[in-house]
Order: sequence, then structure tokens, then C-alpha cells
Amino acid sequence: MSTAAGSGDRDLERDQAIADLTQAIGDREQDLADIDQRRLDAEQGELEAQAAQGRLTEIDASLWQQAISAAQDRRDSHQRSLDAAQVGRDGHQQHLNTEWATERPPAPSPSSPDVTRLRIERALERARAAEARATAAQARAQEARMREEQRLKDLQ
Amino acid sequence: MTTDAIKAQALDSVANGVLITDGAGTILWANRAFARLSGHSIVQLEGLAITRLAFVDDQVTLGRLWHQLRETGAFAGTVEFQRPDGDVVRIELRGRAVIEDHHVLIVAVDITARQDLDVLAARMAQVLDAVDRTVVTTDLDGTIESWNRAAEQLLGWRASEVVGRNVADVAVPPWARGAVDRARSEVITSGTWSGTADLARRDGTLIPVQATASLLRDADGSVTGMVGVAIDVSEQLQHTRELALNNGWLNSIARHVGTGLVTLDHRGRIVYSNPAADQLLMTTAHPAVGGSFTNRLLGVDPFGNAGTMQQRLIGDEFSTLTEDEFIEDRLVRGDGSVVPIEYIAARLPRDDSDDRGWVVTFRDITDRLEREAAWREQVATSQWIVKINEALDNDRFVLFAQPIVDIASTRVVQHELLIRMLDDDGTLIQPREFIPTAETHGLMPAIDRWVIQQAIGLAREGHAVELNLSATSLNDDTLIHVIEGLLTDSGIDPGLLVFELTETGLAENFDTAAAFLGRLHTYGCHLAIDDFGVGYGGLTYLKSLPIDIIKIDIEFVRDLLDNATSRNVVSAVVALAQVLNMKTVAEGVEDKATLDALQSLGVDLAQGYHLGKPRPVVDVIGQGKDKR
Repeated sequence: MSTAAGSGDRDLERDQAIADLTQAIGDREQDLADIDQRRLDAEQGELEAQAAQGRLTEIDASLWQQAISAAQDRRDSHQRSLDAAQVGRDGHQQHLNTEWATERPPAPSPSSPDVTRLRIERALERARAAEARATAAQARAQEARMREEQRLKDLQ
Repeated sequence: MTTDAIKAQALDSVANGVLITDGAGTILWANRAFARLSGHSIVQLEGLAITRLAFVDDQVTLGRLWHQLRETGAFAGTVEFQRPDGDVVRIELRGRAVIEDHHVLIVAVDITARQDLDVLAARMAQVLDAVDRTVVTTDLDGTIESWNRAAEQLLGWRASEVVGRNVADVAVPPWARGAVDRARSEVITSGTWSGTADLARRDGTLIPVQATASLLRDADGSVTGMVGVAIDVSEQLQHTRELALNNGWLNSIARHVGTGLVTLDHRGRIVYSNPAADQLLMTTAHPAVGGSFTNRLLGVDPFGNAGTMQQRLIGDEFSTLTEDEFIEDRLVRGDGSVVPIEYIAARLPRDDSDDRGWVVTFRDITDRLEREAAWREQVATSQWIVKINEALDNDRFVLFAQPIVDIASTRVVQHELLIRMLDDDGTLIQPREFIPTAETHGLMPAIDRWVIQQAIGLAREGHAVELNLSATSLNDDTLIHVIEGLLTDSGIDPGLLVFELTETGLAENFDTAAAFLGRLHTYGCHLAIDDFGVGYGGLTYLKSLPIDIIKIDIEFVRDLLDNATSRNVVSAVVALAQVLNMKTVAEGVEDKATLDALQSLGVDLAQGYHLGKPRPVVDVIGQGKDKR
């Protein structure tokens, strides 16, 4: 039979597990989106190479450039929705972090130190993952900026 | 000097030849001019019969002249003399008898040159008459001097009727005479004029001509008049008008026809595109002309016709492009979108066959394909409905079973039941073929009931089985009572039955599903979420449903070894399952390495080809038929 505090713990653990799974699925979706972006970058490079070799007329190169730009626009839009979802998850995780912080410490028992250590480890792992995500998001934003600058340059 | 000598000296000084003969034509005296003309010396001439100077034919002529002399006392005529140097001179002879001494005084004029000019003039007149262009010569005031046969035919006036009249009065309509005056001034000042004009015919009708006029000069360059040449261009104008009309029609058709029309050069580049083509190609930002049409074709048509137009237009493949066959393809538009089209290409009719281009008409067939797809789907759906009903009536469904293994012990703990349908010829039909139709046409409850009956039959034999439940069956209020009745009647352990429902199925009708699953759980049956992780955005339902098993979707299992994010998902699912006291099943395990990875991640159960393919249930776990 669980105590009230124990039951709250389990609820929080359950919510955290759901949040972790949601985050893992979100990470995978971002992973697939990154693969999409790399493919688009490769297509852009191939187009430029073909144009440089004179294998495309200016008009055709322009046409295909427009096609790739349209795909990039769709990608950017998808990325914005992924970013928005991530913001939502981050907010939820912050809420869970607050819950964890205010949760009453477990009643003393032989297993308590282990449970506490495990929780700290998991929290640290989540923090590291969040940092890695933030770094990756920053890199994506930087690449998006460079693409936009290039596009503006091409239009001039 | 005697009077005769003075007379002879005087006759020597005149330019024309003068000679005196006796009555028989023997030359008695000739002046120097005649001697030069005949090519003989005066001495040679004296005593020579005049007939000896002439050609044989002209000797006869001379005879007639002498006859005329005797009759009238004078004669006039022309004969040809052959000079000793071989030249022939044409001589006009005028003779008069000197009665008193029976002598004949003859004046001879060399008309050879004049004769040549006459011949030339006659030839020129013939040439002018032979040409099919109107040629008219006038003086500088426009008075007509010559009028060739073509002019007679074109304008209806005979030459004899108009020579001497002003050309403006004869062939120019009154309102155009000012223009004629200006043209004449231009000819006089610049030497030439050309242009188009309407000439008036004798009957008053007008005829359009292309005309040129130039100054005429004599041998010393003095201006003597003008020559005008005119060509009837009424037929040409008519053709031009017809051509313009036809072009107008063609342009109008091309511009207003709803079908895209482009003409291509031999390399497939667009030379012309009509508005419909521009719209289909979406060339607002990029003009179509100059761009490649063939490069825009992806060449993969819905019916799998081989070869793109690009390929068909290259080298020997030219000949394979038939001109009466519509070809389906996919066209890349200006915004990068792709639209299905059908096109027909025909060669442009040109003589220079090496560079012959193409005319291509094409149209968007999205609507048609969608319509055809809808028709096909309707037909297929109707056929499936009939087949499913027949299968239900004639017991033509069969169950396959795939083992589910406890990873830690490698023991088969239960089987997932998978439905198949037997076709008329005994071949097996996969569920993906008929389940969508069954779900959309209310046939799933009947199929699910059949499966549930079979599953309970197997459970009665002690087998633990998983069966898939369609989301649409949850709306069947009677189904839960049927299950309850079957469980009660069979007396089986409900824990041997695992009902699977997809996340999508849950999401579609959550409240109904929750109530249904709650009842099943109350009976003691187990519940599993199938295809977990892909179908539903939120996972909070896990908190409120009595789920026992999470079946991890094959998408996360397939690339488990290569994809860290997939491993993270599986790990998170396992962590969640542990918190919620659920078991996990990994679907689609196809190799041992994946199985090992799953075990290390803490997944409880697994199924997949590596552990056992689905096989007929009778071969795997028994008869399973409900024998009630």
C-alpha cells in the first residue's frame, strides 16, 4: 500500500515517463527532419554543380531552383511546427522539474539514496539532452539564416 | 576647171554615195563616198555593172528597180552589197533617169546601222510584249509613248488607244493623281520611284499593283522620258489577306483553346507557348520561351509507359514518337509542383528536316485521373464488398498465427492472430487488401465477431492469443455483449485473450473506446496498444486506460541498431511501461542483433520474422474452430 507521498511520486514518475517518451518521439521526428534538410542541401549542391557545368539552361536552372526553394519553404514551415512543439515540451518539462523540486522527499528507507541518485542522474541526463537540443536548434537557425542570406544575394 | 569637173568635185564632197550608170546599169562614174561604201576604188567601179556589187538575191531586186525606172523614170529600194572585205552593207538606193543622155543618177545611203536599230527596236517591242509585267513609257509629262501587251491585258486599253494620252488620264483614278504627280517628281529628282498603287482599268475597276518608275536616257545621257513597270499584286494581296486571316484564326484558336500548346525546336526548347500552356507551366516569373519543355517532364507516367519525351526526342528514338498517341507524363511547374498531363507531339511541317521542331499540345489530367481513380476505387470497393460478404457467408476467412516470444526466456508466450481471406481460386488475400473496404462499409463488426469466435475457440484449447479489434467495431453496441456471452458460454480464462487496438483507433473515438476496453478489462481480458508511438500525438490516454501491453511500432524497431533516436524512443517506452506496470512487445524483429538490442533496452516480448513468420493457425497452434 502506497502512502500519499508515494502515490504522488508515482504520478510524477508516470508523467515524467510520458514526457520522456514524448520527447524521444519528438527527437526522432527532428532527426528525420534533419535528414530531409541534408537531402535538400545535397539537391541544392547538385543543381549548382549542374548549372556550373553548363548542363542546364539559365531558365531551367532557375526553374529547378524555384522547386528546391519551394521544398525548402515547406521544410522551414515544418521546422517551425517542430520548434513550437519543442517549446511546448520544454515548458511541460519545466513544470515537471518544478513538481520534482517541490515533491516531498521519500520516506527514509534503504532504497532511498538509490532512488534519489537515479532521479538526479535522470534529471542531469535530461538537462544534457536539452542542452544538446538547444545547440542543434541554434545550428539549424544559423543554417536557415545563411540560406536566407544566400537567397537574397541570388535575387540581387 | 570645166563645169563637169566642178560638178564632179562637188559630188565627191557629199556624205552619201552618188553614182552615174548607163541605162543598163554599168557604172560610169562614182563619187568617193560610194567607193568607201562599196569597198571598191573609183577605178574598179567604173565600167562595173551595178548588179555585180549586190548579192544574187538582190540582183533580182536591182532588176525590179530598173524595171520601175523604165516605167516611172525613178526608183527607190534597198539592196545589200557585199564588200571585198566580206562585210555586208545595206544600201538604200534612189535613182532617177537622166533622159537626155540615157544616164541614171543614183544616190546610195548606207542604212546598215539604221536597219540594226530597227531590228533591235522590233525585238525590244516583242520582248516587252512577251513580259508579263505592265511596261509603259512616257515622256516627262506623262504622255504615253509605248504600252505593252501586258498593259493592254491588265488595264483593258489597246496601245493604239492610249499612246499620246497622259497616263494619269488613262490609268489613274482621280483621287490618286496627286500621288502620281508626287511619284513623277520623285522620279525626276532622284531617278527612280517604287511603291504600291491602285490603277484604274478601262471598266472603272481598280487593281492593286507594285510599281517602279525610272528615268529613260538616250545615248548621251539626256533624259528622254520615263518607264514604269507594274505587277498585278491583287492575287498576292488576296493570299496575304487569307494568310493573315488564317494566322488570326490560328492565333485566336491557340490563344483561347483550353489546352496547352507549345512549339519546340528540335532540342525541345519552347519557341511559342499559348496562355493555357503558360498557365499550366506556371511561367509568370520565368518566361516559357527559350526554356526546355522536355526537361520539365519527369517521364514516369501513371501507367508505366517507358521513356520520357526527352528520351524520345533524342537520336533514333525520334521515330518511336507516334503522332496520334496521347502520352501520359508528369510535368514540373514553375513553382516546383508536379502535375499529371497527357500530351501529343507532332513534327512541325518544315522542309529543313534536320532542324524540324515539334508542336505539342498537353493538358492537365489531374481531374481525369482522380475521376478514374475514384471509379476504379468504387468498382474495387463494390467487388470487395461482395467478396467479403461471400467470405463471411461461406466461411472463407482463415486465421494465421505469429508467435510472440518472451525475450528473456525465448519462450513463445502467445500468438497474434492475423486474418486472411481465401479467394475463389484458393489464393490468400492479405488483410490490407480488404480491411479498408470493410472498415468504411460497416463490415468490420462481422469480421471481428468471426475472429473473436475463433480466438475463443483457441483459448478454450488453452492457447493465449492476441486479436486485433477494429476501431469501427467499438461503435457496435452489441459487440461487447456478444463477447461477454461467448466468454461466459465458453468458460475460458479471459486472461488468455489479448485485444489489440491501434492508437489511431483510440483517438478516433476515445470515450467509446475507453468504455469498451474498460468492460473487456473488467471481464479479465488483456488489452494492448498496437503500433505504439506513431499514431497519436498525446500519450495522456495511457493514464486513464487499463492498458496491459504496449506494442512498439515496427518503425522504431527496424532501424534500432542504426538510429539513436529510435533507441531513445524504445528506451522511453520501456521506462514508461515500467512506471505504468505494463509489458512491452517489439514488432518486426528480423534479426538477432535487433533482438539483443531490445533485450538490453529492457523490452519484454518480441515478434517478427526472426522469431517466426505468420503461418496458418492450424499448423501453429491447433484447429481453433469454435465447435459450438
